[in-house]
Amino acid sequence: MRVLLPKIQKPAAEHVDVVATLQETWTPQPQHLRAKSFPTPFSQAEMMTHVLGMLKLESGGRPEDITRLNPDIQQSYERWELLLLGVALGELAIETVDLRQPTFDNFGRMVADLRDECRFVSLIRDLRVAGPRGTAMLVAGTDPECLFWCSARVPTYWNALKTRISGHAFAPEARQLLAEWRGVLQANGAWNLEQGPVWQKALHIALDGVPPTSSTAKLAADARFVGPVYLEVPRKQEQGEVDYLALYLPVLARGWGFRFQDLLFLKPIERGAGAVTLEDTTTQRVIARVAKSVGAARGDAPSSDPASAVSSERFEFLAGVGRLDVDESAAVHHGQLHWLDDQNGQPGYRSLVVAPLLEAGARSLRRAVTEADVRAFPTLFPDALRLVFSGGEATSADEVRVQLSRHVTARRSAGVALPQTGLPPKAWKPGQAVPNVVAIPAAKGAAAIGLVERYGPEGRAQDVGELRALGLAMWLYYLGECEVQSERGLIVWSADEGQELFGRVRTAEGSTSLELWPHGLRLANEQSERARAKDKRATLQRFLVTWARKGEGDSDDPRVQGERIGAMAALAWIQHVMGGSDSELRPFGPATKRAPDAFALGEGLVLPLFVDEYARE
Amino acid sequence: MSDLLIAVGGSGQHTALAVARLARIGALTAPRAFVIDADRSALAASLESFGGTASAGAPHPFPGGATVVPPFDIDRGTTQFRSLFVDQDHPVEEELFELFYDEEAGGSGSTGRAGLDVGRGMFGNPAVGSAVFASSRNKIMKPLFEVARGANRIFIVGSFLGGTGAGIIHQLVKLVNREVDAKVRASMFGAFLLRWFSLPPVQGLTVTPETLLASEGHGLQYFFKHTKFDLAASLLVGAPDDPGACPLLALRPANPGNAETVNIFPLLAAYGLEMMPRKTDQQQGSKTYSLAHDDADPQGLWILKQEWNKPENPPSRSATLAARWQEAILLQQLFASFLDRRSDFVGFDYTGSSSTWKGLMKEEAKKHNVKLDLYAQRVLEALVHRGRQLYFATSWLETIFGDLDLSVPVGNSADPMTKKLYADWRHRRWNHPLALNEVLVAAYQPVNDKKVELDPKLPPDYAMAEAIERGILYVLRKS
Repeated sequence: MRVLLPKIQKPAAEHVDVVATLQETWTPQPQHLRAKSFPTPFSQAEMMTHVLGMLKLESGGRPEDITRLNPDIQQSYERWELLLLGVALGELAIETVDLRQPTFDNFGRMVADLRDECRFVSLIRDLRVAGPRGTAMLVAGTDPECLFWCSARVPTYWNALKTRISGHAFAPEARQLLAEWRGVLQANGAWNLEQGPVWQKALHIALDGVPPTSSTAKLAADARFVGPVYLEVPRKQEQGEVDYLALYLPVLARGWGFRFQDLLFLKPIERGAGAVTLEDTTTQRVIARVAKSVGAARGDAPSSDPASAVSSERFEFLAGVGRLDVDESAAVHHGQLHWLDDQNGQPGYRSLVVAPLLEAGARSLRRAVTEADVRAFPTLFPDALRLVFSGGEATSADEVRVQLSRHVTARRSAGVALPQTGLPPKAWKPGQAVPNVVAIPAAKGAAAIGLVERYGPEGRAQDVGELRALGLAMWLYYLGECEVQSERGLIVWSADEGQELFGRVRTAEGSTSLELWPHGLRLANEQSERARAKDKRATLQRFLVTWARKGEGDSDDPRVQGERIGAMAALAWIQHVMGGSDSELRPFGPATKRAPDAFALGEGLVLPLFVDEYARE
Repeated sequence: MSDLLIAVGGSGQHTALAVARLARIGALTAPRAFVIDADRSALAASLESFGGTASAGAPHPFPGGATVVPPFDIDRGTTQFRSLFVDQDHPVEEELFELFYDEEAGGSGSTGRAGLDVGRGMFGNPAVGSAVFASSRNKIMKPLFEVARGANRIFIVGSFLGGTGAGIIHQLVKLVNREVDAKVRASMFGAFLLRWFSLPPVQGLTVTPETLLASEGHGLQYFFKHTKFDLAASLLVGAPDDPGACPLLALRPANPGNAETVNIFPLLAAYGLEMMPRKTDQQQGSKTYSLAHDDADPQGLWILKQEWNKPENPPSRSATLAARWQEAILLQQLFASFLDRRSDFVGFDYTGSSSTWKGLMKEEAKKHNVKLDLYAQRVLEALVHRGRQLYFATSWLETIFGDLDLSVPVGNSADPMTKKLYADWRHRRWNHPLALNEVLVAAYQPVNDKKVELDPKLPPDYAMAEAIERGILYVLRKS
């Protein structure tokens, strides 16, 4: 009996026959491939998946460019590889968008509805080529299965890109970077050439000739990350099953890693009337800028001229944290006391940067990552900023949700969102390990900024963050090398010579969150400062004694909570100083009495300060 | 709860027509139907009117009829694919749209090219069809999902050819699967046609044999990768490359003007509605079936010998399609005989009328305040309408199979009365007086015994006609 199906020659024993997959039998030949015949709006991505699926791992050579066989098809391995290298070399930019945003209207909603995993799509733009609307030309998109797929519309674009990429001096270096990135995936069980997604096979072929490596030196030192891009990765220990992971793609940027921690500390400088540019305070290099802004020129009152009131529309971080829309105008005005805070109705850093970041976070899928995820897979979660919420965002008495600075999501495991929390002081008890994330209670609506991840090359990772820097500040105060001064309603921590060390806290207008300046953080991490602390070993032991049991008592008591913050900061600093030392620092000597000064962190929440009784002798 | 048939595109409507015909002759239980297609074709008109035979008194075999719904929002005032999504207020959306669709399909704001007009079909673009359908999910397609949630079983029919069915089916399956509960989800079936007609190789057509094959190939890829897992079972059927000596299996040219193309494949797809629930073990996951043809049976008698709609149609001994076809032929002949003896029927001038139909019709006529002869006249007209419906079904089967002696596939399980009357008709020994004097009179008994009752939802004369038809069937099937 013959089976009633085209192209099938196999005989059947009965009138009703069970059909096996037989997919190969019906797959069109390369010259007959037609993307628009895929029954989904994602037809171009499906076609790229199909084309990559045709790649043979064992062939050893580059596959023939399928567009030569079929000029009507936009998808080919060659173009995929150009996109991969274009992104890795920074020739192409990635813009991750939420298709449910109103700007994408019903088309975006429709596409997002069809595939949950494609709600967030990364658009690939060529910054050197203008599109029909004057924006950087949109040349491709991303997809979980194939990673990149080409636009349906730009058939003549690819030759120009090929010329740029093939002649690029850093292409070998970019391949090396990608090989390290692949190594991270392999090391984390997110790689399977045989049964994994086709993008991994394509990447493997693209890196033909680049030896596998377990090193992440180049990733740590010379890469910034763009994305996130949702990609399929093989599920550990389950053959053929996939997870969706938010991955960041590496972009070659020499020396980027060394500036990583400094990216936290941005300072706005002015450029032109009313415009704000953010500057990295340590390198004086421009980090971010407001593309268009408004306001009065320096020294002027805000203009009432509507013609000059052009709203700020786009805020772009050059630091690789993506683009953020800012609705409000942005300007720094003469007489603005502190660039962190809003002044005279003009937004400061907090409104300008933090608020949009929070908004972006609120728009996210709210799939969260744990600290363990970040530690285990640092290159996949490279965000420079971590925001720690407290107050109204607390999910329970024992945990405070950590809002990442942008949309960073967890690997999705059976649809269960992982918890992502910071530990509030009320949940910490003296004697416990110091948490990586401390959620400092702040007044309702206020956010405390905390850096909560480790940083550094594999095996030498170290925690960086304000907690340790605060410990340093307390240590310097303990030694008598730093004072707390009152100045126009502000409390300033300053060194003997009057240099501002750690920032200011406004006390006259109620409590605000603690800010720490980059000088302090750098100081905390300098080897010389650590050595100096170790040299004062006995003093450090007294410092430990002083803080070791602080924070005992009623967890709901703000006073106790303030002590716990201090204890955690002191312990974090001591552990940092003693890190790598063979001997454990043991408490020694008498505990020191509290100094007359204290540091207001929030309503009723006071950080007590202590001075070593021998320090000023 | 009733079954739901969702038919998509031209091939889906062909299958829906097959299902409706088979339901009319009792070979399938009639499901509710929801039909989706972009354009108003002759095929759609035929499906909606059941070949021009459906009326208030001879209702469509599908409960509630078979209205064809377009997969886009008519209220939007445009059927241009581009305009369904792109507008001046959302330039970013336009940019995204143009990333997904080329100029031929999606038009262009800069060149002014319009792109596809989906009001006239999808022109072999499943990628367009899928988007159009998905965008109407919460609008014009909303009633579909409401019906689906209350269905007993769901059958989705169409093809992977062309653009409408090929584009919509996969997203339809996915979205229906999301909307219904687990119980309904476990009873979702798909019967899909692959290449089953030929297209003339005319230059300049948007849809060519090549585009059909591309849609089929990529559609099958997508089916095996995604869609089949959302269905309890699927049936794929289409013309083999080599039909051998069997003309039944040969590709026939598509009927021009989007009218119905008649061959065996929509019938085979309809068989899926009967076969899949019976074969499917829900514990074994999603299976994909096809059908096979025996070259030693060039007439295709095997499908006529299969059991359909069992255990319905009591007290017949045979559940074969051939048996139902025989009955449908005999009913037409009997109704034609009644018409030939119109005055005898209306005047109850036949043996045994007084103790049978005359009394009942008199009672009904009085109840509805109609004169008896006028009432009987209307009943006869209703029977003629019903006969036309049966002809719409049997003439289609005859076009597919040719002039067959149906006693062969029915075989030894034939019901005696049917066997005798069919043999008389087949051998041109049809006896007109027999129709009224024996068959019609005998058909009163099951009515009298309350085995057949008047349908209160129908107009009284049509309810009587239906009762007569069912009574006759009872007689034909009685041992």
